[in-house]
Amino acid sequence: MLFNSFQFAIFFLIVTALYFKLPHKYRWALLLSASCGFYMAFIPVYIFILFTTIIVDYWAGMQIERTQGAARKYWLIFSLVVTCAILFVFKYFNFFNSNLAAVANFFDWNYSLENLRLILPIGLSFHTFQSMSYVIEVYRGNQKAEKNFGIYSLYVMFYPQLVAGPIERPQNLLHQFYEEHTFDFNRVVGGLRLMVWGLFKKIVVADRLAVIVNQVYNNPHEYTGIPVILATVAFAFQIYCDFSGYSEIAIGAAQVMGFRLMQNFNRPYSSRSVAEFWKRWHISLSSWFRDYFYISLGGNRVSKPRWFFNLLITFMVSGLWHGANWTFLIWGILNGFYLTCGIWTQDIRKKIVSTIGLDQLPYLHNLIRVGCTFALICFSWIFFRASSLSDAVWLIKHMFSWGNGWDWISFSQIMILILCAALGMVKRSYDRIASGLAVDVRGWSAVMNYLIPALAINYMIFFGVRTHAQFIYFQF
Amino acid sequence: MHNSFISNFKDNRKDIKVFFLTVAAIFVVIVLILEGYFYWTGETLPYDQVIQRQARTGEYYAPKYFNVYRQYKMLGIKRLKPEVLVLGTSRMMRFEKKHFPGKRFYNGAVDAVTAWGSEGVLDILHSLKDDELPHKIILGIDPWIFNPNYAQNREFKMYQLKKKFRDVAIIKGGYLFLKSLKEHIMAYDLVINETKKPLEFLPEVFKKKGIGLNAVIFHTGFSIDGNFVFPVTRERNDFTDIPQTMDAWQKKLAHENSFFPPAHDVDQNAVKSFEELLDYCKSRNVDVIVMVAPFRPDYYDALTTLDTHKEFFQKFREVLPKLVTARGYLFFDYASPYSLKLGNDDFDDNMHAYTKFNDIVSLQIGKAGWLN
Repeated sequence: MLFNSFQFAIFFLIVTALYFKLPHKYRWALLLSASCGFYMAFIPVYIFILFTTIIVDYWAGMQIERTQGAARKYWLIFSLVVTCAILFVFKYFNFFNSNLAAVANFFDWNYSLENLRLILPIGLSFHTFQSMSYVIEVYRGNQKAEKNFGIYSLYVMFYPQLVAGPIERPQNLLHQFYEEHTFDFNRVVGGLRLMVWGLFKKIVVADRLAVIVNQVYNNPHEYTGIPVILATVAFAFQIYCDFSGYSEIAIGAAQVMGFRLMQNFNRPYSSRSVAEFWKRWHISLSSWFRDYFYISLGGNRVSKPRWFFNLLITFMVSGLWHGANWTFLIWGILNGFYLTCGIWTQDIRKKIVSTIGLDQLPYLHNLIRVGCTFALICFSWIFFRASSLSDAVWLIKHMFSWGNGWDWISFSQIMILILCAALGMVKRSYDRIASGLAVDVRGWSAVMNYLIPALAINYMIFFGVRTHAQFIYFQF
Repeated sequence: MHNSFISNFKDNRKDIKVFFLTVAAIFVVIVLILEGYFYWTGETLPYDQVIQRQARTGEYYAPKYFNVYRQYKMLGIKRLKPEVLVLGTSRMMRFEKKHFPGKRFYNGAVDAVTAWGSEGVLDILHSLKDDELPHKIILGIDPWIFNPNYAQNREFKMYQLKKKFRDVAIIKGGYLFLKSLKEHIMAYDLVINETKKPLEFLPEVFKKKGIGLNAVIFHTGFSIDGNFVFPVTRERNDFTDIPQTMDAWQKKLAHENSFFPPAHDVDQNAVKSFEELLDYCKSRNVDVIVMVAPFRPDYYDALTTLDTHKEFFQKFREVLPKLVTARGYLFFDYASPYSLKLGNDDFDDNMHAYTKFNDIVSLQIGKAGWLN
């Protein structure tokens, strides 16, 4: 059941109506049943995999709280091994197996282990990480073990963020299931507005950009030069609108019922460095890796070479988290490399900026920094989007040659995207006024309050792509 | 919760109203722009106005975003009350007035999807009063409408169900409304996803020679006698995907899913409908020539020699002529292009012959004295 489907609209309306109708003590049960139904709409039998993770981590959490000393650590390790093993079997086994087979073949060794024929459970990486964060926080003593198995299950399965996040922390979400949420008109409208905006980003912007991107990236050898560059830039916005759109629908749907989920995106393409980008992009995952992986490795409180190693390995694992493919691995390593280079060259860059007097022109300086960061991120997206490493290399080799294959963008696509960009800019102005960053001239924000969602709804009706394309991050 | 829900809505009733009015206002504005564009370009010009304008200016009629030919042709038949009427699919669309001098002629053929085989033709005749029926009908039948695996034959029951639904007077208005709504929604999608650059056709639109965008852009469409005039500058490379060898045809037809899926017998429902059609004409004293238009030589060879198709074609040729001649009507089988000495170059594509076919056949009909 996709967020951009009619079924979800009906499902959401029924669940929300029942949620407010039921007495508080039964609401968690309703949400849990709804979340099970939501998950089972994809592949019903896979709910057992999810329950395995839930049972193991629930049990481990209780044991960690109950025991002392080394036993706590063993329970933590047990939980992490089991959840990671499930992730490995479904997501990474075939990748490692194929690579081992290739190595064996190279050396003429006898290797005959067959690949598994399994479909990746939807959102596996997301709920695995959310479940892991609970066990780690209980181990660290930041969170009490949840006694109510139903509530814990709901923490892992809460349907708005079950399949693609935001990856929540127990401290933020668990206690909310005990709070009674009354029907608050302004909060509900705020949530619905977020959902409308997220849907608009997905079905109008992302799915329209997908047409342009897929044309080039599915036939990489037919395009060179500017079409490749444009398709890559288009992909940068496609994946942003797709995933941030999903996150806004998830946050909005939860907000309607009174739950506060963490922000997942904060205008990432206005970042002035790659380090800043990763604080603004997929915040729930970046902070997960920072808190549970990078810091566990020692973070930056180690020698410089070790610090760089920590960064590289964190981004490499983050790349692998996105998918079992060399393209994701390279994408992760490349981002780690950007960060280490950024730290390494920090002083030199400062000197250059000061020497040429760019620090006297802060606006221009920021503009250049934003432009360079965007270019670097776009370059890394090539690996993320390309179907194979050879396709990515081919595209990079040919992206600066004279372009061919111009016929893939239609005038109407461009016009619709321009209209969307205009609406996005109006929305941005409204957000600035609403958050007190800009002055409301002649009360325009009141007009925009109605106009923006009304326009977004009409854009969806007339310009939306009606193929119900899956969200990109669902595959992770 | 119930009280807070109601009171919340009561308190904010004005906001909700303003919001939904804003959504509706924007919706109406966009619809008006699109409808205005359609009307201005002649896409949705009422059919009687189309016919009046065609009679006055001789312009062609060809909308780009709407498939309205059936209604348009129906009106054309009713208006002209032709003595000689051509019915069938696009393969018959090139017969024109000059082929039948001295006769009130109308070409009522529509595209294959709209035509709906014998059932569709019978529907047209049923909608005509006795004094509107033509004296003579040239009925083009296509072999595929008798193919049991042809998509429309697989949906035969659904078509009949739809027809019953459509024919119920009480819901007829509702059906027409829903149909029109569906057509308009599809047209909006087509306009919004238009791949042509506006600069390529807007200058032509301002000159406005033709009714409907295809008529304006390609100078093509239906003329006042219902004949379809194909574009003069039709690009040959439109048909680059047509197989050039028998092997290639074999591969293509093995996976054919639209007109000629592999089959070994004729469809009994289609035969029954065809008989009903002939009987209806007989009962109304309408003289009929049943005709099979030619296929391009390579396509014809494939259809009649490949193991997956030849049996069906043989059955078609066994069964159909008997049904026609048994009722005293003429049956002309021109499926073979060789019988008319037509080569590959006499065809637009694998199924549509140029007007040479119509010129030859009309002469033969004239010579046979059938028109007298």
